[in-house]
Amino acid sequence: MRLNRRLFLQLTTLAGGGFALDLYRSPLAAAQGPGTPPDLTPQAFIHIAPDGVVTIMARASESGQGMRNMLPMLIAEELDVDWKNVRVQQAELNEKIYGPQFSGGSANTPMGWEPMRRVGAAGRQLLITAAAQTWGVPETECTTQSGRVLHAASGRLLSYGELADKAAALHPPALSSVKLKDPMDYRIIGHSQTGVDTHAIVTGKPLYGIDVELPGMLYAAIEKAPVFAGKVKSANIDQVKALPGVRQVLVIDGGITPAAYTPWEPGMEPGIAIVADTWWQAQQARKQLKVDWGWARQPHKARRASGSGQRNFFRSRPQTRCASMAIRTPRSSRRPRWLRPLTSIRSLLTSRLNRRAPLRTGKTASWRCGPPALCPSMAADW
Amino acid sequence: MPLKLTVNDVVTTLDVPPDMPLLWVLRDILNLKGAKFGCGMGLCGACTILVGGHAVRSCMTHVGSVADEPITTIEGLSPDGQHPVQVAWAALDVPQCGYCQAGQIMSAAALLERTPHPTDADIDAAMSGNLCRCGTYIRIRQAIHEAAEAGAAARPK
Repeated sequence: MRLNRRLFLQLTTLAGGGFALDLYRSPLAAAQGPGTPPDLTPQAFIHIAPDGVVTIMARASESGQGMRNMLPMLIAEELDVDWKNVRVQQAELNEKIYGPQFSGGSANTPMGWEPMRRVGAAGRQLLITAAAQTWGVPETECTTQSGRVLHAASGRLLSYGELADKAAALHPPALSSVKLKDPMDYRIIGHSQTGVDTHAIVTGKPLYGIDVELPGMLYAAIEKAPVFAGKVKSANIDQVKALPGVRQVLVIDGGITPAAYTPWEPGMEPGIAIVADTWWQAQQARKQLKVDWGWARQPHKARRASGSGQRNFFRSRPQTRCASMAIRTPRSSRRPRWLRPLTSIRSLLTSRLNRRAPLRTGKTASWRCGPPALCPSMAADW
Repeated sequence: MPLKLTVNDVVTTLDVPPDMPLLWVLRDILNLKGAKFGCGMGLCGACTILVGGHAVRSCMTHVGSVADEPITTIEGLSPDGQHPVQVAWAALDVPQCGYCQAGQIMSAAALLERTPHPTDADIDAAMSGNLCRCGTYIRIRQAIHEAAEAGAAARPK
C-alpha cells in the first residue's frame, strides 16, 4: 500500500485522537481538495499609497508562529518592495477573497508558500503593465527594483505609488501565468525580520481578542455540563439574574452549530450562559449558579443513533456527537459488566475544552453588526 | 465606598467592590488592556503589574488592598516605550504571540529595580512565575542581561 501524505496523516491521527485528525484534514483538504478555487486577486492583498507605503493583508490569524510576518513577506518578496516600507494589516474573515484563513497544524507556510508569492508577482505584473501603458513601451522592456518600475532603454522610472491607481483598475493576470523570482534573488524571504507586532506588544497595546471593546458590548460566562451528554434540568436563574451587572441568564440546549467556517466543531455544548456588563460580574454570578443537571440522551440510545464506527461519528450531526460515547463488550462474557475487557471503541467524543487556551490566544478578533452570532475567530483560535 | 487609586501617576476615584481583582479594575473600568488575564489564580504571571515597585499578580490582588500605593502597568512603564527592558525586548524580538509579555516585562523591570546586575540564577528565580507558552525564555533571559547593561550605561557614574 502506498502511504501518501494525506493517508499518513489520517492513519496517525486516528490512533492519536480525533481532534488532530480534524486539525490536519481541513487545511490539507483545502489546499489539495478537488475542484479549482477561483484565483486570488492581488488588489485584495496589496494596497499601495501615493507615498509608496505598501499595506499587505495578512490572511491568517497570528498565534505566535509569525503568520503576520511570514505571509506578507511572501507577497512583498515577489512584489519587489523594501520590507521597511511594508505595513501589515489583518485581513477580514472572507475565504472567498483571501483563500484559506486557518491558523494551525503548521499548515500556513505550505498552504501560503506558492499562492502568496504568486499574488505578489501578479501585483508586480500589474504595476509593470501600468508603467508600460503610461510610457507606450513593451512590458518586456520594463523591470522592477525596490518599489519602482524601470525602463532602462529610456532611463525612465515610476514609483509604485505613482502607478498604484492605474494598476488597481487593471484586470489581474492568471496567477498560474506569472513568473516567480529565482530564490537566489530573495531579499526578504530567508532573512529574519522583526515581528510586525513587537512594538505594540512591548508597550501593552490592545492586540488580542480579549482586548476588543465595542459599543454596548456585554460579556458572557458559560457554565458547561460537567459530563458529556449532560443537560440543564433546572437552575436558580431568577436569583442569578438579580445579581449586580447581570443582564440575562440563558439555558443552552446544546448542538448550536458554529459558523460554517468550522463545520467539524461539535458546536456549543449544553449549559448556562450568564450575560453581564463586565467579565468579572459574569464570573461572580456564575459562582452563585446552582444547576440541577440531567441527561440530554441515554447512552444506549445515542449509540444506535450515531450508527457504528468512527466514520459515522464524524459524519453525524453535532447534537449526536455530544452524546455518542459507547463501549462494545463481547456478548458471551458472563463476567460483570464492569469487569469485562474493553475490546473496541464504537465512537469518540469531541469537546470544546481547550487545555491550551489560557496562554495561547489569537490576535484576530472578528465581529458583526446585527443579531448576536458566534464569533468565527473564537472557533479559529486553537 | 469610593476608592482612590494611583495608576501610572494618575489619581482616580472609583466606586467598585473592594474585593474586585485589580486586573479587572484596570482592564474593564480604567480601560488599560495591557495586563492580561491568563489563569485568574496567580499561576501564569500574565497579569503582572507593579504595586509600590514590586511585581504582583493583579488577578489575585483585591483592589481595596492597594489604594495607598502607586500602581504601574505596562502602559505606564515609560511614556514612549523606551524603558531599557522594553528597548531590549524589541531589539531581541523576544515576543512570539506576545500574550504573556506584558507580565514578563513588568517582572523583569521589578527585578532590575532591586538587582541591577542579575545573574542567570537571579533571573530564573525572579521570572519563574511568568509562563510563556511559546517558550521565549532564552530570549527573555538575554534581554534582561541586555537591559541591565543598558541601564548601567545610562545611570550617572
